Amino acid sequence: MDWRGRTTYKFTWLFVGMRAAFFLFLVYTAFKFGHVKLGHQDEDPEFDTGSYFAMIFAAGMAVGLFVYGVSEPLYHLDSNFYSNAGYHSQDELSMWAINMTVTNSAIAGWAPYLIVAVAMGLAGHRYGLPLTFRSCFYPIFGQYTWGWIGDVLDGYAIVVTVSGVCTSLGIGAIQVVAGFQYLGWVDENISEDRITMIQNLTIWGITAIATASVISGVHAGVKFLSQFAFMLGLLLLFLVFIMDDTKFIMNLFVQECGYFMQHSFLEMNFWTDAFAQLREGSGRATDGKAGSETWMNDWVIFYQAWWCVLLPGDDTISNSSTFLFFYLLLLFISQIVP
Amino acid sequence: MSEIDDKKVTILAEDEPSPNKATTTKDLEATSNWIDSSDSSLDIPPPKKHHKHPNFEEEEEEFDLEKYPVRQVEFIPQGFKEAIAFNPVVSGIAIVFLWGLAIWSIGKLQGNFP
Repeated sequence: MDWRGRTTYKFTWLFVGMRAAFFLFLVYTAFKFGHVKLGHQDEDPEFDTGSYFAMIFAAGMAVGLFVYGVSEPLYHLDSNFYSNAGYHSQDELSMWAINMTVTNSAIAGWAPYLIVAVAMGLAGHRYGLPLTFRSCFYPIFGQYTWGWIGDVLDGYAIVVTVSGVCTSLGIGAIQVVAGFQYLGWVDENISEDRITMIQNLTIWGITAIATASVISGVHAGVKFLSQFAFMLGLLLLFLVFIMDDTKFIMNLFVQECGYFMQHSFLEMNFWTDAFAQLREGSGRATDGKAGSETWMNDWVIFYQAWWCVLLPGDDTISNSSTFLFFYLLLLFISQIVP
Repeated sequence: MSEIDDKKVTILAEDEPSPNKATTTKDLEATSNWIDSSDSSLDIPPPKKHHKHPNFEEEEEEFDLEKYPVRQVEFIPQGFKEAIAFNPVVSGIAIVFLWGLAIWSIGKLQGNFP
């Protein structure tokens, strides 16, 4: 068993439990402090709502939506805990697959991400502290935050953020090169080594563009690239919407809204696949209908860890909103857009 | 129906003695003294103010960033107008850990992408 497998085996309860706890805390802060602005109360917003939305969308969902939006439901058709049960129709399995995909990208997954984002936003934009991860800990460590304790915290933040961004980059590169092959720009009959090399070159290209975007600043490159990416995404969404079976998409959208509220808010957000993770003889079903042993490891824990490592990096980038507005924006991005 | 109810109300108001009704000058004085008394147990508590969280209402607080500055090194690369600042300890931690992880991973590759 590799490290990720061991982590899932020992700490599924922690990942899933903390996700639920963060979500409940998020609801509490939304009601208690929803009126509080991330910047000063009388300050004008730094960005208009459209740009703000596009930047948060690009930083938060980005490539994951395009990779997993299509492929994830296909994986879930035969790997979830119901797929082996034997008495569910294909339609029911398809609905579960769609629902799991939305749940994995939904608000509960974003909850820890949002809590850190508002903490950093408050520290940086409202209290004028350096816009780094360590500033969130100022109320705990006081002036020690600016010493070696803060250095370790920031170092940790960089390491996990780079890990998260590398995951996104790697997944994105696989998708981009597969797209090149589909378009015929890259030959499909080439060796694994050659595909890996093209993927590496793609990563270098994306990294160069991203670096130029960051150096040019939030008001220039980051804003422009986010708006461009968002517009392209909207175009794709629109094309799929009108060129595919539109009434089916609308039916599914409405159905998923209800399905999500019924099954995801509580059931899926606390689901640890406890029995499926056991060995046969220890409690796992012995009739051959048990769920996949690796489903939590491959999806829920993978996603949750990915969300968490992006926490310190993709923080809130502006003073433009209140807590509640920020939460609602992310709720829209995480629930409606997928 | 309403006439009967009205009558009942009138009869009650006129005929039934109220225990709190002041009927003599002595009673009126007693009532007046009770109003003037400073017995705190009888005071009506003031309405509760909406309690706002102090941390969000306080304006600028001194964080002593000048007294305890964040460690940083600044330099202006050729062709740049503004300085680039970085924290050498933070960068060092990140570089050592990430390159260490990368080298370790190359030596012991175990990917299991779903």
